Amino acid sequence: MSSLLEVDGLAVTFRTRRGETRAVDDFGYMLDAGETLGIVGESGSGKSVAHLAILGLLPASAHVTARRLMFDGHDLTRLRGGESRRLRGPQMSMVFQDPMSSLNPLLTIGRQLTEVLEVHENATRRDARRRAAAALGEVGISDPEARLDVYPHEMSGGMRQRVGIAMALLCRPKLLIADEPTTALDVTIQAQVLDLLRVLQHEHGTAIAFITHSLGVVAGLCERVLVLYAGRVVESASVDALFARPLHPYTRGLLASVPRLDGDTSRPLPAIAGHPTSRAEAWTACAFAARCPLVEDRCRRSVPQRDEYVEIGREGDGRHRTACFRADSAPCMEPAP
Amino acid sequence: MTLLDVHGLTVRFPIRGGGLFTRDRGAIHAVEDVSFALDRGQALGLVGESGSGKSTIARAIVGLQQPTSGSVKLDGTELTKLTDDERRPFRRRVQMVFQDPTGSLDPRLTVGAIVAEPLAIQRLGTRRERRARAKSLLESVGLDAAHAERYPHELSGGQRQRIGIARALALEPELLVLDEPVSALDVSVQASVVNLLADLRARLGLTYLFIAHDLAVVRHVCERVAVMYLGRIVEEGPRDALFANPRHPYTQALLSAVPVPDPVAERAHARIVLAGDPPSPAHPPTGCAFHPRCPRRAEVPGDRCAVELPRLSRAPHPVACHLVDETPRA
Repeated sequence: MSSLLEVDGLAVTFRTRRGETRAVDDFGYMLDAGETLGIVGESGSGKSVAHLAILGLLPASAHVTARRLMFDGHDLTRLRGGESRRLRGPQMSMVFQDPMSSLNPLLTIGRQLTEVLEVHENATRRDARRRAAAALGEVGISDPEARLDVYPHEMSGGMRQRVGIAMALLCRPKLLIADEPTTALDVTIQAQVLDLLRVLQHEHGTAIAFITHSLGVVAGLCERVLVLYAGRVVESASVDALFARPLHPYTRGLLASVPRLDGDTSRPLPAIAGHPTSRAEAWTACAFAARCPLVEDRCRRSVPQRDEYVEIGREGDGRHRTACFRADSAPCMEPAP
Repeated sequence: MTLLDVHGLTVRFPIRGGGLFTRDRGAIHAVEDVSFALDRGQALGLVGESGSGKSTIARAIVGLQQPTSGSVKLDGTELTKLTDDERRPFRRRVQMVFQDPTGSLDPRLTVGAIVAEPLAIQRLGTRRERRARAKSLLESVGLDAAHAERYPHELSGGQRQRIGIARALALEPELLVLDEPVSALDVSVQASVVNLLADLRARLGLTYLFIAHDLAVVRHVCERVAVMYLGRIVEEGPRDALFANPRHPYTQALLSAVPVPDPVAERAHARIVLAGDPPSPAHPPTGCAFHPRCPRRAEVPGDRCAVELPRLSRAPHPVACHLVDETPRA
C-alpha cells in the first residue's frame, strides 16, 4: 500500500534583503492513512515552515523545492489553482496554534464554518448550517445551535481551539496537520483537546501530523516521531524506540533535560549547552556540532546522512533513522544491514 | 523566620460600562482572600491555570497593583499602606523577573545599561562602579562580560532571560518574585535557566515566589507549592507531600493532565479529564468555585459544594475541599 503523504527532499529558502536563508533542508517523511506522526522541534527548527510548504501556504518570498511531494496519489508539485484548492483544504487541512488569530474576528463562528461547506461542497445555507452545528457538537461544544451566532472573542481559548478543529474536520479530510494546537492552552484543557483528537481520529481514520515542542504530548498521542533541529530531520523512529533508545545526542539531551513529575530533584537538570541555531545556513557541518557533547572533527567538516539503525535482537519498532556520526556510540544499536 | 507574610489578600477589578454614565457593573474577582507565609531562604511555587490570579498576586506583592483588601508584610512592615517614597527602600529588597524576556527589556539600551539601570535609579555608586557591577552580574548569570556592549535583539531568548535575572539581582534583593520565568524559553534552554535559578538561590540565600503553570518545573525549583483555582488557594503544602498525595480534586486533575515523556507510562496512565472550561472570574460560581467541573462532587452529600465555600483545612497540609472535610485521611 502506498502512503497517504510522501515528502522527500523538501527544501524551503526565503529571499530576504540580507540574501537567502534556508529554513528547511532535505525534509521528508511518509505518513499512512490513519497514522499519527509527531514532529518535534524547537522554535526556528522549521517544523511549521515545512508543513506550510506542503499545504502551499507560504508567501511568494519562499522558494520551495522537493524531490517528491505526493498526497493520495496526486503530485502536489504539479497542481495548479482549482485542482490544488480541491485537495488543500478539504482533503488536507490544518489546525493552528492560536485559534484567535486563525479565526476571523468579524464573522460569527457559524458563518466561518458554513463558508467552508459552501465553497468546497456547494452546500446550501441551510444544509451548511445544520452540518456546522453538528460539527460543533462533535467537538464537545454544548448547545451548538446557539454557538453558531457567537463571535470568536466571546469564547474561551479552549473553545476556540475546538472550533478550529471542527472547521478543519468539516470536509472529512484524510490528513490533518495540527501545528502546536494545544501549546496556548492550559494543561487541563490540553488534556481535553488531545482526548478529542484521539476520539475523532478513531472515528474517522484521519491521519494526523502533529507538530509540537512537547515530548510528553508526543509520547501520549503519536505512533511515530520525527525530531527536527535547525531545519533538518535528525532522528525518526516509532515513539517506543525513540523514547527507549534515543540515538541522536540532541534527542538524548532533550529527553534528559525536560523536568519530569517523577524526576530526581536533588541534582541539577542535565542541560544542553549553548542555544538553538535557528537558521540552517552552514550546510557543511552538523548543525548540532557546537552544542554536542560527543562532537568529533568530522562533525564540523561534513553533514551526517540519515542512516538506519536497528536495535540488536529486535524487529519492527526497533528500527530507527538518525543523522549522526556518533549514533553507534549508543548501546544496543547497530547500523542496519 | 518569616520574610513575606500575605494575609487575606483580595484584588478585584471593577467592570465599568462605556459611555458617560458609567456605573459599577460588578467586578472581576482576580484574587480572593489569599494568605500564605514565606520563610527566608524558601521557595514557594504558585501554580494554577491562566486567570487563576497568580500574576495578580505577584504584582500586588511588588507594588504594581494596589490590593482591594488584605495585607502584604515584608519582614514585619506592612507594604500596602506605604506611600511611593516610603516604599522605595523596600523596592530594593523585592525584585521581579518577568515571563517575556523580550517585552521586559528596553530594546534601545545596551545590555550593560539595562542591568545597571536599577542601580542608577536608586543612585548607587558612580557610573564606572555601576558599569563594573553590571559586568560581574552578567557573569554571575552565566553570560560573558562582553555581552554588556550588545543590544537585547542580538541575543537568544535564553540569554535575554538571563539579563532579566541579572537586572533583578542588581539591588541585592532578598525576595525574587519570578512570574513564569522559563515558560517562554525553548525546551533545550529551559533546563539551564532552571538550574541557574536553583544555583543563585543556594549561592545568594534568596527567597523565591515562583509562579508557573508547569508543575514539573515548579517541582524542581520549590520546596513548597500552593495551587490556585479562580483566585483562591485550594491546596498548599510541602512539595513531596503535595505531588505524591494531592488531596484536592483539582490538584489531582492538574497533576494527572501533565503529559509524561514516556510512551509506556502514558499508555498505562488513567487521566482525569475535566469537563468544561474554568468559569469566568467575573461570575465565580457559588460555594466551591471548582464544583461545576469537579469529578468527585457526587461524593459530598447534598448541595454543599454549590452552597458552602470550603475553608482551608489544616493537617496534614492545607486543602479547601468539603470532601477532605468529610473523610479525613492520614
